[in-house]
Amino acid sequence: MKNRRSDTVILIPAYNEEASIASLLGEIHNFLPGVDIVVINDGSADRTADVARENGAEVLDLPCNLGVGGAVQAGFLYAYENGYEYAIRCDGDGQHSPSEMKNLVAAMKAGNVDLVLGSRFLEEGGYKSTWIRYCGIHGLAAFLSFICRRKVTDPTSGFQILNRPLLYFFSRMYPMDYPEPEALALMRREGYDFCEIPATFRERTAGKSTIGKWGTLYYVLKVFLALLVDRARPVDVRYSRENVAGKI
Amino acid sequence: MIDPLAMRYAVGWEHAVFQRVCIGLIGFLILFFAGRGTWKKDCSIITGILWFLAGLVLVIFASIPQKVVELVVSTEYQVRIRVIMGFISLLVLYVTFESIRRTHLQEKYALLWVVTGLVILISVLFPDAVALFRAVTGMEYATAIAAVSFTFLVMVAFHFSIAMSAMQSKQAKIAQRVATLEARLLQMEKALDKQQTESESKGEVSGKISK
Repeated sequence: MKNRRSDTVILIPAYNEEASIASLLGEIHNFLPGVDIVVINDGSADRTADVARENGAEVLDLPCNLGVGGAVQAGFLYAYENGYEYAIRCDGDGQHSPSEMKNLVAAMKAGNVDLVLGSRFLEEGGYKSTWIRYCGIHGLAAFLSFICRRKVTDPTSGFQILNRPLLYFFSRMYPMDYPEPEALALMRREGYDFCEIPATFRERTAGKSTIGKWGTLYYVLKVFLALLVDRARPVDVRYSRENVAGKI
Repeated sequence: MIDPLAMRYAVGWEHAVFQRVCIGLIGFLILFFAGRGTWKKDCSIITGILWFLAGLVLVIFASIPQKVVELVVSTEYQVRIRVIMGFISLLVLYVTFESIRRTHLQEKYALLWVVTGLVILISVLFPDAVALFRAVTGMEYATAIAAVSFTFLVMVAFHFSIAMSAMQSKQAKIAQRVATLEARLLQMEKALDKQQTESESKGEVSGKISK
């Protein structure tokens, strides 16, 4: 309310990203001057929080490591409580390029959706990965498209923009580890809508991926299980699109 | 039916004088210190009594005559198992109640342990129930006890994993709340600082004008 300078906030979950966070923040300041940036420091052991503060970002300093889901949810909570209309989520490792954030904003304002997803697979070529990761992501994408009744090509993408009703829902309910695919399924069940736009993913500038070879297998199994279990749960009408949109 | 191995030990009991004397001496030492500690109020009365009992058990154990050993060995092994299981169940119950009393353990968690202890105790007190159980399942007494204990341990472990999941999500909520509050506190401090410096500089200016 009183603390925000823009109606959009950029949420960056970061875990031990002191090497890449400064240049990322600089880029964001370049492409979207005057936008509020919140770095969620997920219990890093290095100087991530200090570097982020020095570079003009607000910092949510989690006292212990919660994992991506918990960190992102802290950002959603902050964005909702401080009255932001939109929140852009991007990773702290520099994979998502800030120059494409305005595409997300444009797609959000043009379409009648609650979340816009930046997908690296909508345009041919560009992104390369290991075959096991390729199979995992595409299998997941097919299954998720089926249960969401919407085309999903990149279900694990953490490059997204959300509107305020969805911020309210996610600040109360969000999966803890490997949250992105499950979150899409959850929001669809509550009546929220999303769409995808193409985005380019860059090579990591520093650090390494949190998910290794066996991690990919575990990721896929865990997410499939979570998706199936979520189907068996009753829909919580308190957070449905209609209820929330009328309330806030 | 008498176990030949147990019989061999029973025969050897008479000749193990040195070992028995050592055990008896340790027992007397424990008796002495327990008595002295309780007398001087170095420890609580309950602790003193427990140690006193432990010493007494050692002394009595050391002074068991040969005939008693032979008698014990010649009893049915089921009777011996029942006595041991009875002691174990009492120990479980005692530890559980003591933990609740000292508020280490919440009652809802203690309940499972109390049930475990009670089930073993019941099986000790009513061998007929065990006979029925054996008739139904075909398990021997010792096996049945192990199976029951194992089932309860699995249930306790499962209960713990559920409790842990709940704790983790609560911990996440608390951590998120702490982080947002901290951010707000820092923003307020900054705003307050700004206000103070502004009012100070204003004060200086107005002071200069009045002079």
